[in-house]
Amino acid sequence: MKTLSLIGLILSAAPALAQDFPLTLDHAFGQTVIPAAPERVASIDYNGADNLLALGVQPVMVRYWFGDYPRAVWPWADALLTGTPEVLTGELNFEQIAATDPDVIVALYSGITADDYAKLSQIAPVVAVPAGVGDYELGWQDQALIAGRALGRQAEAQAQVDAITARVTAIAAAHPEWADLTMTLATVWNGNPNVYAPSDPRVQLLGQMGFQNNPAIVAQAEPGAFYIELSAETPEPFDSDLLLWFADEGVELIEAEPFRPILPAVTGRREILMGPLVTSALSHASLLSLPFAFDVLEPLMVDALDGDGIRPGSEVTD
Amino acid sequence: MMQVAGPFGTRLPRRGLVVLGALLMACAGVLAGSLMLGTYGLPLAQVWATLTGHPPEDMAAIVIFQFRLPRALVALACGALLALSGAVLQGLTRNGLADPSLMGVSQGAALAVVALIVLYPGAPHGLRAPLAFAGSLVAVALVQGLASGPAGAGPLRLILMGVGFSAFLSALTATLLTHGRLEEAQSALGWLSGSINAADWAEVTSLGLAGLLLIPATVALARPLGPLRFGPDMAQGLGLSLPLARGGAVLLAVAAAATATAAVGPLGFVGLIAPHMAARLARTGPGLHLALSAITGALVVALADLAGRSVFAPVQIPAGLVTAVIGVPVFAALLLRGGTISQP
Repeated sequence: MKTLSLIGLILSAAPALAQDFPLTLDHAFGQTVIPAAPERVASIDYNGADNLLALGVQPVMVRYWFGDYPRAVWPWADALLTGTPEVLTGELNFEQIAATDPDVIVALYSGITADDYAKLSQIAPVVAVPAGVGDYELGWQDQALIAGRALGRQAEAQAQVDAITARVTAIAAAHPEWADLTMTLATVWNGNPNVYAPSDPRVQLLGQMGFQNNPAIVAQAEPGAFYIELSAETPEPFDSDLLLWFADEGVELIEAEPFRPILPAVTGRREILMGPLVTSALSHASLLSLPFAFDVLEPLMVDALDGDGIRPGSEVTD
Repeated sequence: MMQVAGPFGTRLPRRGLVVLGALLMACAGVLAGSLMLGTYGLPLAQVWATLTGHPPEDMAAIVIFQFRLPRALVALACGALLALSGAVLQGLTRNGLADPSLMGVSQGAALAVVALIVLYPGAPHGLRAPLAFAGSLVAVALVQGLASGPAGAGPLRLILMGVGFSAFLSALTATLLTHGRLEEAQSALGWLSGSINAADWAEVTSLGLAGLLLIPATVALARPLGPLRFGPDMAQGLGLSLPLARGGAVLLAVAAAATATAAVGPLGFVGLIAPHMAARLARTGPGLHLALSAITGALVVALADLAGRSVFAPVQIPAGLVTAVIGVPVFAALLLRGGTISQP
């Protein structure tokens, strides 16, 4: 009986303990203390509205990244946003941020400097990246979990991260044949064809779905580099069972790559040109955008590996 | 008609002093405007109350004293230092196109900072300013070294070497940028656009100290260097120790520009146009010309920053972009009106 009540005590106390305010967060710029569960949350992250909305928080400020969306929120998050938050465009306008009177400022995917941090801290406590994490390098799980902790919604954040991880595992389990296949994630950047290295978070997600990295990419990958710039004369890294392109722009450049016509993935229609929505969803890497990307991509990958991918030159996904 | 101060004349440069006063008042006006305007809605009465020590709310004091005031002061100081640097270099090289960026100051700083951002993405941001300063000095030292022949660094050799070497450094920077990840390029471009957005009191202090040291020193050196205006041979004939004086002046000019660049990133065209604008406002002796140039530069950058954050508010345009956007047409107009561009 005593043991039982002790377990009960632990069970009820554990989440509360983790979410006690004032909350102290250590990060790259020092230490932030959030005195109470914040209500007015300003995000200065380029993908910032997503995770807040996923956790049931209406941000008072969001930051414009790209795309033609006046509220700076992409379709996977749009329905969850009830009001019209202040939109931060371009440089950090400290006065604009101050005018939203935030309780906390979330800056986990914003590239702020120590100077920026010092200014922002005068407005409200700032949630920043852990020490040693470079600009825009924080993984999608940590972005969600740190935001969740700062907002007093750690359990919800953990549950949603777990759900996405489980979804990836389920995709892998549903397609055991993928484990024998190689995959290349590529794009054209500055006119050159690039492939993403095994350390790229999006490549890692695809790997967790079962796919193998192309050996030619593994051989060329350098630590710390998230992509490999290649010459059109070395098509081996593109010669995978499944070839995925970020094709939100420069489709004509991809289609003009001289080596494409001889690639088995292209002739066999095992190629997917991902359009702006899917590319952006993978880049946002949020609790809302990742499920969206999986919904679109999974059936496309099934079709592509049946030799029924997007026909080159005719279609690009959303 | 040139009104000469110092050893060449006894008349007070009245027009120069009037212009000096007018420019100082204009600077005060821009400073006042910078304190009044901003995205955070503060009526004039509340701005005044805050300035006199009675802020209506805590945030008003932060907005005025931590955001608007240091930013305006940094803009003024950077403009003054860059313009001073440009004026000294134009006088030394007797070439109206001379400018800190022509000596490799901006390009050296840019290369150092972009290399840091792209090659070591996790490096602390605090390294950027000292690296920019070091990059400037190394670049200028290399330009000087490469340009110096048996007869020392002649003005034309210096300019040609500066142009060539700056292009070389810019190409390296561009290579790094295309090589870097999109996110790193984004960080680097933010710095490269010359933003005064994050100016704080530490920057005000370091720039203020630099200004207090460098501006009087440069103005003091301007008088002995005055004979250079008549050409190096005549100057030497007039008793000037050329290598020493010139070396000292170059050092001061580079230190001024490097300090400003380290604080806010490359600010285009200020060092080039401010001395020409000052020369158009009043033809004066070398010392007063430097002072007028510095104040003109301060005014230009402070106005550019105020415009950059007000015109499309709440969207802010970095001051470096505004100075370039304003600088090019002004420069073209100066050239079209002809004549005075060759010698400030």
